[in-house]
Amino acid sequence: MLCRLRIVRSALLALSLGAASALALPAHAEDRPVSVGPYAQVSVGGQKMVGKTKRRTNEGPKFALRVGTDLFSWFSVGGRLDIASHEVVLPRPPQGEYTQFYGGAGEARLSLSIGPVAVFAEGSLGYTMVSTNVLETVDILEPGERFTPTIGAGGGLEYQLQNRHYAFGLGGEWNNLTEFARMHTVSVSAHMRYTY
Amino acid sequence: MRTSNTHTAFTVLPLGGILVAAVLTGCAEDPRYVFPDEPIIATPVVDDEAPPVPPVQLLLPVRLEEEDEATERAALAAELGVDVPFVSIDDIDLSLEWTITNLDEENDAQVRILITGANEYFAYVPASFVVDPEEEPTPPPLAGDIPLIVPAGGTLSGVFREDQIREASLDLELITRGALNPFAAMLESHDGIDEIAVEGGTAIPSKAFASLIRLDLALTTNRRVSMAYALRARSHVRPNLVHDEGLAALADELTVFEPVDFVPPPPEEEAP
Repeated sequence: MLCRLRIVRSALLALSLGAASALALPAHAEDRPVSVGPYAQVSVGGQKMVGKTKRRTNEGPKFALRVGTDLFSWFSVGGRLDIASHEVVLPRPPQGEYTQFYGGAGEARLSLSIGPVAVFAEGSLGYTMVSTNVLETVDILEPGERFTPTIGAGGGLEYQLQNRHYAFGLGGEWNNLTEFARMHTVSVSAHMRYTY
Repeated sequence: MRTSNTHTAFTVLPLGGILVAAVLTGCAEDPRYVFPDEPIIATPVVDDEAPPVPPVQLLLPVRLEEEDEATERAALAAELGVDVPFVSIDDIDLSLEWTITNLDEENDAQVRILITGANEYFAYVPASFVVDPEEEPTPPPLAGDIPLIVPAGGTLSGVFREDQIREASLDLELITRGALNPFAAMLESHDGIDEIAVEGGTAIPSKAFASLIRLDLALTTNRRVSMAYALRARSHVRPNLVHDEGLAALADELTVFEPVDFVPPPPEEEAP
């Protein structure tokens, strides 16, 4: 009987310590200051077409550079340059060719910090240029068409390091290349963000 | 704080620089593709007496020449003492990708692709070199003429590479402005030649070598086949020599070339 009481006491003690640790987390986060101000962000990931144009390109790598500024700790505005490369899949020659999509956009981002982790959502509006006319042969591009307005939305998670300037994150993004046969893309990426 | 900024300089900004550099260098020589409207359908020749099927012409849609380009070209022509083409061999690289489909489901097809063509001065027509068809063989095309086996109901793909089309351009210059016998021209590679000697005239330096601006494609086959193809052009000149809208461009936005069919001078009569 005495033995059982000791076990129950030990369990209660462990639970109390666990609860105390959990409650202490926000206090610990407060010890982790976060820079707010101009930022630069690089990301590496992959992109895939979705919708009716998806079978005309394979997945490809995507790189992006973002710069901007935090207007508040929870709201930022900035610009983005990105490049994605895709192998083109066509029913007739040419075969095995690659085409690149170069994008530039203005962005706004909302974020919500929960301790060292932030959840963010962003929207963008810009232009995308395609490097070649190879997709003309399947009517995704019109003759001479190289640019398209692009709208996008995305979100993800970000982890703030002890160093106030650095954060790493994972995100996903959807873009609509409105003129290229209304091509849609989805991408996932890992990023590093530096806030001055 | 200074240390952190230094970290930034060594991490984020170089990666951004690489991205921007990739975009700029990537844009510099992006290829443009010229897609013909229809594939070529070829059937076996059953009547030897019938006239040969004319080749399909694929014209490179070249934009109009700008004023400063024309001035520069005229100055170069005056300096060299020879005609300088708008589309020179160093201005553009061309390659032709093709896929042949054997429309006969039961028998393999033996196919040859014959490529001739034209630069802005002359078109190469091998039959023009034949005076007596009974006695003389027809000179070879500028590229191709290699037997290809396409399986029954199957497809075969390939490409005439940039160096092969460049060699075809060189051979055409040698045959026409260089007055070289087509058999001799086609026998060896001439890549790297500095000039073309012209008998009784000014030698043509490599700066003035004209590129093919028209490909004439023909197939010989023993079965019914179709060939889909696309021309890939990489312009080394800015703005791009190939019109943005390709073959869909308005006629008055394209340079009109009028190459003449090259007819070799008649053979000199032997002295009695």
